[in-house]
Amino acid sequence: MKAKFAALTLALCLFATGCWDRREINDVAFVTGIAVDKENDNYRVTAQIPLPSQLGGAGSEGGGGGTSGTKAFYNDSRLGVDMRDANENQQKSNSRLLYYSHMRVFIVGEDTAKQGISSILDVNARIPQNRLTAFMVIAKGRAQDILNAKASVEKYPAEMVRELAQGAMDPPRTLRRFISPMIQQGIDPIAPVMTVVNTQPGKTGKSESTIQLQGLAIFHDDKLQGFLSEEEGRALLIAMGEARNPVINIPSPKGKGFITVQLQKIRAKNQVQKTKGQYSLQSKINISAIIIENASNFDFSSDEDLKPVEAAISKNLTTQIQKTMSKVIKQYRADPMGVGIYIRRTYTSDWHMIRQDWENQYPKIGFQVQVQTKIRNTGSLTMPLAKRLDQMQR
Amino acid sequence: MKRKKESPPLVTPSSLKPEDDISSDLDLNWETLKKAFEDCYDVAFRLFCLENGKRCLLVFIDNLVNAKEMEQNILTPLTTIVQDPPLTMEGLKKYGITNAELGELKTLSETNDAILAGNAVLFLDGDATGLRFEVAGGERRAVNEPESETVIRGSREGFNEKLGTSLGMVRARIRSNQLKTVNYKIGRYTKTNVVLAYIEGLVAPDVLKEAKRRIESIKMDAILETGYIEEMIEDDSKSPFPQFQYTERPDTVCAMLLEGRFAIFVDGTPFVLIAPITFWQLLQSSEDYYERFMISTLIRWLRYVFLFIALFTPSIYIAVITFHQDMLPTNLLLSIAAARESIPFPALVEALIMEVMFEALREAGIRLPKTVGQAVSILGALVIGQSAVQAGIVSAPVVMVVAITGIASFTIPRFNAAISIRMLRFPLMFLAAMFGLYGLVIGMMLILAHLVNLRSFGVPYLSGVAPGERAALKDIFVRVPWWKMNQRPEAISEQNEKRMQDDQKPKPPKT
Repeated sequence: MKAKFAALTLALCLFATGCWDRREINDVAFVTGIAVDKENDNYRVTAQIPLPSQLGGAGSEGGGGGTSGTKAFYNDSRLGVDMRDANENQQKSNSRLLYYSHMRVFIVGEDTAKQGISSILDVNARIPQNRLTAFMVIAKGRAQDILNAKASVEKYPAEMVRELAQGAMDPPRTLRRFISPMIQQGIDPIAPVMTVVNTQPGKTGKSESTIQLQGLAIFHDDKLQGFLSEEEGRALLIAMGEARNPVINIPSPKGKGFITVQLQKIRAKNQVQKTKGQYSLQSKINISAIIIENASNFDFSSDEDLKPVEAAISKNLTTQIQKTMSKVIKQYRADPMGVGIYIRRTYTSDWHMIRQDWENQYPKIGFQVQVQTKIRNTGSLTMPLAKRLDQMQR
Repeated sequence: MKRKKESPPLVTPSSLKPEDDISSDLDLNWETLKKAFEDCYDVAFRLFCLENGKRCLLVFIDNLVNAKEMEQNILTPLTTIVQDPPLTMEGLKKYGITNAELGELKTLSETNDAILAGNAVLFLDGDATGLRFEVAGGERRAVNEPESETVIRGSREGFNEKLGTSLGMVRARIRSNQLKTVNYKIGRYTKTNVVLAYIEGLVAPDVLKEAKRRIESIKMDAILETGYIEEMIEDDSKSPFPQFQYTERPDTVCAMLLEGRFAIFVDGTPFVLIAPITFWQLLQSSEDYYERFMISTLIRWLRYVFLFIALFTPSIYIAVITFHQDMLPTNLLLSIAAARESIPFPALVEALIMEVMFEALREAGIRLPKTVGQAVSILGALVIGQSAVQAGIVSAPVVMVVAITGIASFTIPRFNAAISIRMLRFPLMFLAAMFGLYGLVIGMMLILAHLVNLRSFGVPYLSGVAPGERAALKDIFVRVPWWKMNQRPEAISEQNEKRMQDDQKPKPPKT
């Protein structure tokens, strides 16, 4: 009897809890992207919250986000002395609990990045709700604007940023991958750059704002040093072996017109050599490429004729990489390739001596690159589709 | 603790005392029986005279005997044979009657039992014994396909309500005198024939002893179905899991007997109880052994997966929606959030409404006549699936969850195992709503602990896996081909493990 009574009491206790920390899916606002801009001494934090009812899911009354004029997302932006402070300010004007576990992108504005970003990264790891798997993105101009772009293709801009960031490089720069070089000596982080552009549908079309990838942001320590253009960024990524199937076009070695190739496998082998007390980074890059368009009148239907194309690709890339690297090393004084780490590994005893003065030593580093290209595939055509044989040049 | 009062033993009510012998006076016997069967419209007393004028009395129950057989084998010979000097019982027994089975009766209570069991009893004036003829008949259902366990490949024969027919089907399949069938009469009023069948030398002796003891200890008014026996003799009556398997397929019973289990047949029901069983067996269908081993193995895995789905899907849904939103991919989460945006209920209530509706629908579908059942299922699908979502009472994902759970619970081949899974998902749903995945894990641990603890006639419920057994594993996670199944499950049949010769893998001859 006593046991039964005790069991009953315990069972009733369960129901008295009222599911105390129950937090249903509709009591929560999922923050999918955060943009940080600095305003004087405060940070302006913009959070993007998709509105499920506007996303047009089954059972919801709302229509598609972009077409009906009502936006499928809601941006709230508040000032705060730090990230969490700003978030708390946002929470005050939001009936649903802000929930950060689905934050996919972390966008930092240009000005903020230039002043150093180490202080705003802490919150991303301290609260486990935040995830280090969010993508790090640098905005040209104000970060806020990116989350305000229309980006009609996706349901909300943060999703577009995420997809773009994922395709920008391989592996993509998550917060973890971004922070890890920051806290090591002898290597510096990079991040993809995005900006808001207007589409150009012509006079009769309606222009819309959308988001575009625009090269790379080069950091030294936690400070943004400058940007690389799309082309330079690609060259740097190829040298690092982190480019994701880049497409380049080269002027045809014979005849006239352009040939477009996609680089499929890029194997970059970097090592540091010391000659006469001078360190230099030797980069050997093996590329296998496929031709995806031949707009020239060059006929490379035999394997022999591919050689000049391969040579042209190698030459083109060598110049680009060389130019980019000297800009990164000399002008930005940044070390995305991790030269310091290569020295530490190869010449460990030297490293202990030069590490104190590494800041000044680094710009003196030499850089040589050697590119070797092999064309694996010329597509389904050997000859251009719409050209007569006598128009071609061998 | 208060000591329970010893309840007095039940006595069979009858006006006939066990010690009353049959009298040599026919009229006296008639009188006594008439009194005993007072107001029994269906008991027939037929008085007739033999050729030599000797009076005879034949007592039988109209609807239990085969009238034609009785006429051919008893009445015709008795009324036509001419014999001098006067006929005696002995004479009749030897020369007169052509009936296959007969027996002599001494007391009136024996007579009573014989009449009720479908015998015709003959009294001869001046003779103090009765003669019993087995002419049982009466209308019974024909042998049909077992409706609750249909298969594509395999026997189409199912047991029926007649014990003899059912036993015969097993006997026809196992032609061995090692197949023993022990008869019990249980039920103070019903005196139901209960038969314990087993194969001598395969069944574990202590299990058999215990089974006999438990069956003998049943003292109750009636046994109308195997369920009565099951609940009277199972190991743990508070467990949601069944400790017996029941089947109406003779081939299943034979396979089980040959693995060293015993079977309990009950007159009046087509279902046969089988024990000792393991949990895995409840997820196996007889067809697993008839179809080729690859598909059988795959289908077994399908069942294991769907067993988990049936048990956990609603509770996982509730846990994730109420506590663990970070576990879902963002897009899935947003589409669920969109579907739930206008739903007025918390996830638990929503899921409960749908699950209870589903159970009600299923119950309604079973009880209703087949023609109406279809209407109910259409109505249910339309009303619940469509309107409830459109009206914004429940969300579309929960309808999906309930549907998946429903389908999953139908993949469990044994109905009684499916029932326990269906029951257990409700407490799990409450646990999930209160404690999230943590509660779910606790619930799972409790279920597992119970399963590990449970026994069916002393055999651990999960045996094969816990405690582990190599030979049994061949028939749990995979179904190895028959030429590889050379051992009986160890936990069931301790003695006589081998069931076939080794190395029988078929291969073409070398040329």
